[in-house]
Amino acid sequence: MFRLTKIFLRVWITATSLAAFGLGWAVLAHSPKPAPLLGSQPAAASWTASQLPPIPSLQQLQIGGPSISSGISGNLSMAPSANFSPPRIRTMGS
Amino acid sequence: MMEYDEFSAMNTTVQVAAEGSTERLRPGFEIVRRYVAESERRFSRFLEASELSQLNRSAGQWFKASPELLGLVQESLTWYDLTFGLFDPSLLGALRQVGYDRSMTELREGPALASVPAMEWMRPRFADTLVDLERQQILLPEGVQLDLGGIAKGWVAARATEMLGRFADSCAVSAGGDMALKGLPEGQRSWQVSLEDPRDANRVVAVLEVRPGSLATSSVTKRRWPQGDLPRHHILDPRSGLPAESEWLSVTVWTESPTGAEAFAKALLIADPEEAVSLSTRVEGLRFIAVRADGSLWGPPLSREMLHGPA
Repeated sequence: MFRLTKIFLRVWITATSLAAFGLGWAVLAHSPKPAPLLGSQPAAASWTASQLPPIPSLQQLQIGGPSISSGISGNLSMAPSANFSPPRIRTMGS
Repeated sequence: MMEYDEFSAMNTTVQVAAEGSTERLRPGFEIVRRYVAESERRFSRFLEASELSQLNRSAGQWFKASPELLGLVQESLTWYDLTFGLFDPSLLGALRQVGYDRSMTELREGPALASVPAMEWMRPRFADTLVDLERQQILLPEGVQLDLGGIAKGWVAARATEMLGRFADSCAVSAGGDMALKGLPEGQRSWQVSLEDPRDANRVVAVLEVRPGSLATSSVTKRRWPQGDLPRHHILDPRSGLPAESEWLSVTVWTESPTGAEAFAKALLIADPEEAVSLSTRVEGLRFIAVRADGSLWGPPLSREMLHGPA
């Protein structure tokens, strides 16, 4: 009895594996093929096709804004104080 | 003791900073000057004899390129993909169409530009560019012409910093805001860099604390000119072929890659602010800070670590 069960299980596993493989093959063969993100398409078209992670709201983006509690206080965009000497190396856009 | 050198090249100001004795650094500064001048001759689109101009003229056929140009075009293709094409160095035709067909000095000091009729936008196919590293050749698709001005500055700054690094433990080279930073100033945990106010070049909007790596800023206020009644700037939106209409005046990016910093600074400036954060996550460790017209600073929460404090 035990031997029969083993044989049955082997046949069952082999048959279902082959069937699953065949089914997967058929599905992939008929699925849409990947297309280049850009090529001749405008960037806007490919943008919507790309799944990007969720984004925070704009309010959350403001650095030092009231919605973020942080160790940084004050308005970060205020003008330099009179006695402030900024670093000589600067980044300014090109 | 930090020593500095500053000179004009590549249509911008090049700043060099390095720690060490003047005698030891002098040859290093000289090497940087020579390398920047040589790179300008190679990458300038304003010089007919530059290698870039020769490549542009050869669109449609294979072009034997130097390892420098080959590497830069290869990296441009990478960043083009990673920014979903928002960084696109093949907009030279559109730049000329909006009037940027001469150096910025000539634009500012020359006669006013007349308005031109709007044309249907046909986007160049930069993605179809082929780079054959084995044969050291580039094939630009017909109609594609490159302007590598921005990304070349990042590339040059990084290599100049490597060269200078043989003479100093810590050094930085900035070409118009595209900056490479190597090592750390003695006793410091970061480099301190002034972030210029895009509304007023004489002001500093914040002081940034950055690790060794690369920093780049793109701004819509730096290179502006009128064309007829229309105000123009040099950051073009590849989706329209026209100057980008951005809520932000400038975007500053830190990454480890010098060309990546430049490409993403441009792409994030062009992208809508809500898209920008998602886009920035495509490069691990990337940080960015944007400046709005009211002077406020924006960016993802992690970028706060870059701020030294109120300027």
